[in-house]
Amino acid sequence: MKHIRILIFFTISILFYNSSSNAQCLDFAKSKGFAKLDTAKYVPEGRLNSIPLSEGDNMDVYKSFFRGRKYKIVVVGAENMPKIYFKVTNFQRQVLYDNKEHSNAEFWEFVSDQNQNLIISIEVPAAASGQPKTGCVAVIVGFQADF
Amino acid sequence: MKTKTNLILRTYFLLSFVLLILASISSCKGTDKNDDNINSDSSSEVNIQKEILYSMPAPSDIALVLIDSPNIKFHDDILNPVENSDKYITNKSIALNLGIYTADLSYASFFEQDQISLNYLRVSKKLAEDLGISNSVEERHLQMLSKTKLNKKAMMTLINETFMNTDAYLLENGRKDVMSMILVGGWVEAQYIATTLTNGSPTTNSELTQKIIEQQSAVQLMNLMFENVNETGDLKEIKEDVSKIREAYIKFNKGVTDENFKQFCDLIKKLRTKYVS
Repeated sequence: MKHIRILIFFTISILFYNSSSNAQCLDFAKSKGFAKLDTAKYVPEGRLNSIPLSEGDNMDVYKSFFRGRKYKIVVVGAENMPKIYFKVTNFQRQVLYDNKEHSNAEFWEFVSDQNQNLIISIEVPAAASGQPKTGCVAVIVGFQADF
Repeated sequence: MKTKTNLILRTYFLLSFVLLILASISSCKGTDKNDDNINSDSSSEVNIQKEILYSMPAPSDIALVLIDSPNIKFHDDILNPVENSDKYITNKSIALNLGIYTADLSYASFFEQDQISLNYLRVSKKLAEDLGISNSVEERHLQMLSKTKLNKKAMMTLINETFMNTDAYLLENGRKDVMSMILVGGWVEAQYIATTLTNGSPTTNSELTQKIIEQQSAVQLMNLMFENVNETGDLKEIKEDVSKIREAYIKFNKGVTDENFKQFCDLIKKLRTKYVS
């Protein structure tokens, strides 16, 4: 009986630890990401693009955008993280937006003039020295609903 | 016999302990400043990585893009009846139909069919739980919908928030294959709703037809997604379905005709019938 209790304890512990970091990023995306998106104006899309990244890491999010819709792309990092760089390119890697040219802005609003797939490229600047920090980075995309 | 059992248990404990340590290092749950920060002091190596996420639209988003067109009406007979949910017992059928019900939910909600929406939210919760996802549709979501009249925007936010919960769970548990099936099911259902409303003719509602044709970009992303998931038996068959959809879209490149549009509608109907049965 004692063995079974210990066995259950270990199994639950493993499951808990495995799910903790990403559940954290879900909460982060919903709190900070939704606030920046301004859900009174924009409806958040249903896909979650929020994962832990370390300083020096990169992430590409491939996403469809539809004709005639006004979008807001929000890119935010946890408090301990440096300013996140992001740019939006098409599949030919032509740059449509680069937040480095806009004072490292955390969002970009635009109207998609066609149905298209774009790549949102995230760059977490490398640490100048010491241990690279790790934290949640969320890409939240919302659209302005006319209804 | 007893010695053998003890040996197995000891081995299990040892493995569990090692896994627990590894899991705690990999998840690196930090306490620095706030919970979103993740402490990485456990590793001294700088391990730069590049993550790639193929973020094909959620079923609710695809359905909304298509039905938010002029002259579209609500027809409840198009939906996959909630009663069908009891017959989905394999991971594949549950995942496909979770996507299908999510697209149906979006369609019903857009037309403010509150009771139908509540029923479809409940069935989505049931199927998500069947996949082991306990927090997809939270009790507060059901309470909110049953007690309050939500406007369309609030309703769409609620649906997408529940889908994000599903997405997060599957991502963290390495079940991209299941998410791929949900997304394909949802995409096919959204197309099924749209093509049914065109009665199989490209001229019935030209704006809706245009939106259906423009879904080619989402199909391109769907292909990319399938190139990057492990191909199990279930996924192999769905990947073949996706290839057929892609081929149907290629025919539109030479122009949309009554014939190729009808063929496309028939293909979608065939796939949808296969998924819901």
